[in-house]
Amino acid sequence: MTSLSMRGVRGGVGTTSLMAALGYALESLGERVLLIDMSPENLLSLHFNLRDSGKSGWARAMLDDQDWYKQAWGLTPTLHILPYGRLSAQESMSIEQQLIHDPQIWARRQASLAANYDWLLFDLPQRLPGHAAIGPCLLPIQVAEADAACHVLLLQQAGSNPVLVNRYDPGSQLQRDLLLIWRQYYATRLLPLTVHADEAMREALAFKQPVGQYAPESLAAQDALSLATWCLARRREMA
Amino acid sequence: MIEHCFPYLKLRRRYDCHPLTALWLASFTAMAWLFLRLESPVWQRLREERQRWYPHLAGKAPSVGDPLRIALQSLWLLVFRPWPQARRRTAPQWARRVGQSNQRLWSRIGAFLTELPQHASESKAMHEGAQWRRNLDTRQKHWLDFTCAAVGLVLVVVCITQPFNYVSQLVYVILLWAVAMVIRRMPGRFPTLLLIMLSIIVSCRYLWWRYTATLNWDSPLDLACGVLLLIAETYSWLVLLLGYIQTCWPLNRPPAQLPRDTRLWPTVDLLIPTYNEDLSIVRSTVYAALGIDWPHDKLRISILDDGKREEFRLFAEQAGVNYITRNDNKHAKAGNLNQALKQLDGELVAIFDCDHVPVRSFLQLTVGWFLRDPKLALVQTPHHFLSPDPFERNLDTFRQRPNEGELFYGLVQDGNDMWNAAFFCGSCAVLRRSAIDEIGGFAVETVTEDAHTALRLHRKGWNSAYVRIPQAAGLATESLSAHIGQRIRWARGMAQIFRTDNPLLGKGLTIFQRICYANAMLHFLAGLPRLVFLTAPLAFLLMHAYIIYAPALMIMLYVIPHMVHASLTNSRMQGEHRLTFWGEVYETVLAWYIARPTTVALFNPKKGKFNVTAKGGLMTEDQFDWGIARPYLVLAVLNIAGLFFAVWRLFYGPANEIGTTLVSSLWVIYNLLIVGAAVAIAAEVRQVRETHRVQAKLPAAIRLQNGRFYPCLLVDYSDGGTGVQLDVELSLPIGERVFLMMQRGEREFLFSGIVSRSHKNFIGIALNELTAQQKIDYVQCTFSRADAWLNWNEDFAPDRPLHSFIDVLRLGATGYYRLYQYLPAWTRTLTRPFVRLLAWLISYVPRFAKASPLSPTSRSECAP
Repeated sequence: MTSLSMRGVRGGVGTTSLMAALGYALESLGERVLLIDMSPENLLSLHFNLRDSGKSGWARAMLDDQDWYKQAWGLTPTLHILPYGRLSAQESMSIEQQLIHDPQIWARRQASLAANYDWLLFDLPQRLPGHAAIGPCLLPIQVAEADAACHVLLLQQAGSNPVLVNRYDPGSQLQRDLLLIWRQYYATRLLPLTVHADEAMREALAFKQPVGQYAPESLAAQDALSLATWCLARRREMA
Repeated sequence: MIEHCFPYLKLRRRYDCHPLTALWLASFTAMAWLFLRLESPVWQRLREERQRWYPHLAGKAPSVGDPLRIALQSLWLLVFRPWPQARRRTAPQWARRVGQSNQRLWSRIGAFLTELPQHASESKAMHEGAQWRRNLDTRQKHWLDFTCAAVGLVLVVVCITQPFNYVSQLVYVILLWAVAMVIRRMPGRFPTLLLIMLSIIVSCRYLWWRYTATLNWDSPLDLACGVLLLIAETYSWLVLLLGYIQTCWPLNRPPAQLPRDTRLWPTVDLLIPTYNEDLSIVRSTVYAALGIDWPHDKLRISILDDGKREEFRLFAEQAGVNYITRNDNKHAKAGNLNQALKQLDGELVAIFDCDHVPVRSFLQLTVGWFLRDPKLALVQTPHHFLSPDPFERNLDTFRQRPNEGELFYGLVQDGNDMWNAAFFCGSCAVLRRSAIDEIGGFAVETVTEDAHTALRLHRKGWNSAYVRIPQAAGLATESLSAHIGQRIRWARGMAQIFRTDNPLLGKGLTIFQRICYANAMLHFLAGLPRLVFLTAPLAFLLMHAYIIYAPALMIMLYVIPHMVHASLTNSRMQGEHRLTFWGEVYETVLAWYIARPTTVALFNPKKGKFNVTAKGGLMTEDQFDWGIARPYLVLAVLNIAGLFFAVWRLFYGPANEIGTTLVSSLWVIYNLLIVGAAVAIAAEVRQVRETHRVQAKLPAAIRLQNGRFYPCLLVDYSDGGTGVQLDVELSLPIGERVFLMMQRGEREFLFSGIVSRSHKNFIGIALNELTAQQKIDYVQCTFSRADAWLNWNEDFAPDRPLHSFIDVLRLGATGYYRLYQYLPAWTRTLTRPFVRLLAWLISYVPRFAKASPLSPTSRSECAP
């Protein structure tokens, strides 16, 4: 079982859509995948047209003292999703406090899920550090766009997590130049592939489908497949 | 009912038959109905399937001879049956077992032979032997070598000069042929040397026999013709031998690594000389040169414009490259280069013709050798052509077979490199500035200044190198006449060098360098010998002169092994670079044209009027180049006359000459087919596009105006646009704007274009509005990719001598057919009656029925 997380360098870089696309792509390559929405916005399940999306979820279950593991949905026999649940701002803060108080919650939960899934994909919120404590994670990917804000934030954060560039437009001079610089400075961190700016991603969410299903012939779907292949290769390397 | 049995009106109305024809056919039908019970179910089945059983009547209008055709076809079908695939009778058990064990035996022998070199190099006995030899001192080694050489020489001399009668000669050649066929299966260089040895023995033996036993000293006519043929044969024997020496061990030089510290890398001046070529051609070259991977401050690009054109100067300024021009145009390209070098001071000089687009890794792969060898003056790389040359275009074999230049750049230069004799070819090369200065600049005395410059460099003791990776690509000659004009110039230049600066004389060259240069020059003297070969058999058939004064059977026993061994060995050595027997075709095409300039240049190097003006330009329609083809037609007519004489001699000549007549007519037929191949090449095919498209398989993506992005495969590119193939059908309207994304290494670029063609999954994009920087990026994403020309050979089939021979012969036949198609209309009106008669006769010939979808003779997919 491998766990992977995606978190934006700044808000609004398209992490959740990317996560949905990656989950679909990994499942199409034959893996058993569980998508876990750690973000109070609770939008991951919208990508898969869940009928009951919005109400139930693991955070809702924690607040209502129910079993967290009974809140998952099976989209296909090998692709499952665990939504967050609809919570108010204060309720999210109380979950945040719980997670800060006991950072091993999700580590234990991962252990219990290990036997049934090949991949646990965590969609992390950009703020809320407590929600980011998900236990051991092999690939903690940071998602960025090639713009000045992400450039500055990457310099400030000075971490070592892998970085993936999303919504890349090769027609933009600024994005090309920034990517050149990043390939030099963050050579060990930057993923060898980028996900291009494709209208199909936005349309897919409007259709409430993952992009691999909505537009399998689009470049975005191909990029998601490349990303999934990269993840599989990394898993084999690090094993 | 009457209509059915007597279909007179139907024939008249529907098929518009003549009344008598209709009457005739209708009465036949009525008789059939009367006597054959056509209404029975068996006949009904037959009539339903009559398209299948009588295919030659299927689309034809009814005519008088139809009853006869039907009768013949029915008889044929009754008597013969096509061999059913599924129910083929299996071979008897014992035959199959023998066949299988035979196959096993041969595959084991084959595997043994293939692994033999490796076993030999690993075996202990070999190592001990090599060790023993190393332990000998110099004198003993010399004695050992001398004794081996002496013994070998004695044996070779015996093999060559021992006269044999028929049976002994037959046994001898069969044994040698068997040995050659066995050695062929072994991979590696040493078996190649063995094959060369065998071929040399056989060819020397042939020539010895010719000199000692086949000249008729009694008759002056026989003697004259015989000596002429013998000189031609000696020439080709000499070229064969020198060729073996030249290419027996291709060096396959790998690129040398440069040091990591770029401060140690030398400065390079990249020169692009131009005279009257279009700016659009030079543009790509300059853009690609700007993208060469080399430190910016150590590379200076210069356009050397002999045409002194303003638009070039503006373009150079805009692109940021140097622009050099001069007051006069003395000595053409060499003078241009010499004048420019006075203003430049780079340590190395790279030269590109204006249409040769370099690849980004050009300098990285070539300069390393200059740093490794301080005496190295020249590194040459292949001239690769991205457009078909006239042979490939007119025969439609582009990228399916190696082209004409492939032998030189793939093998001959590589072999030259082994002997340090690789020479300069005028473009796609890097030279050391100090070496050029030492010889006083580029040579200007001859027309092929590049080979002459290299010769002078070698004389002064400089080395040269050849890296056989294609690092630039240019355009091939446009038409056959332009091609021939170019070869005439090279031939004259080489003959001039042979006369004025003979490589066999003078100091400064090693013996092998002399051999390699001499062979390069001798190659261009092949015009006269080739003409002699093409007309030799006519000496006997037309003039009754015994050019080979020997019995026909003996001639066969000597000539055939000579040809067989030569083609086996050449196939082994050259198979990847030229298919067997195509060399004859290329030589025939050029023979007439280079015969005269080379002879004139040999006697008087300064004289000679300038070449045939090249037609050049776009070939707008299919046409037959009568001017160029005239010599071939003359040769063909002569040979056909010879054939007629041969037939006459067969009937009316003396009986003991029949063998000779047959052999001569076989030779004449062979000559006719080779000349036919040359005629086929003269039938020019029209060029459809002006800019040449290069086929490729590159990943790309297109973005539509609505923001949707689709990955695709780039299947061809050219200066003005690309063609891409998508996974889905997009049905884009012509004229819509799309963006094409391509990558170069890790960088991606987006180009704005317009849809010019759209058909199912395929879209053609015209890229006409790119900015200068975008044009540079585009050239660097396509033409100047480091791997752009590396997979050119991937569709080539391996050489098989016999198949290649039959291909050439077949090409000869199609050549004559094409000639017939281009003949003026009045000749066709003359021959049309004969053609029609032939077609009418053939319509009576019965043929097999087409296989039906459900019959047991066809393989059906769905089992009942």
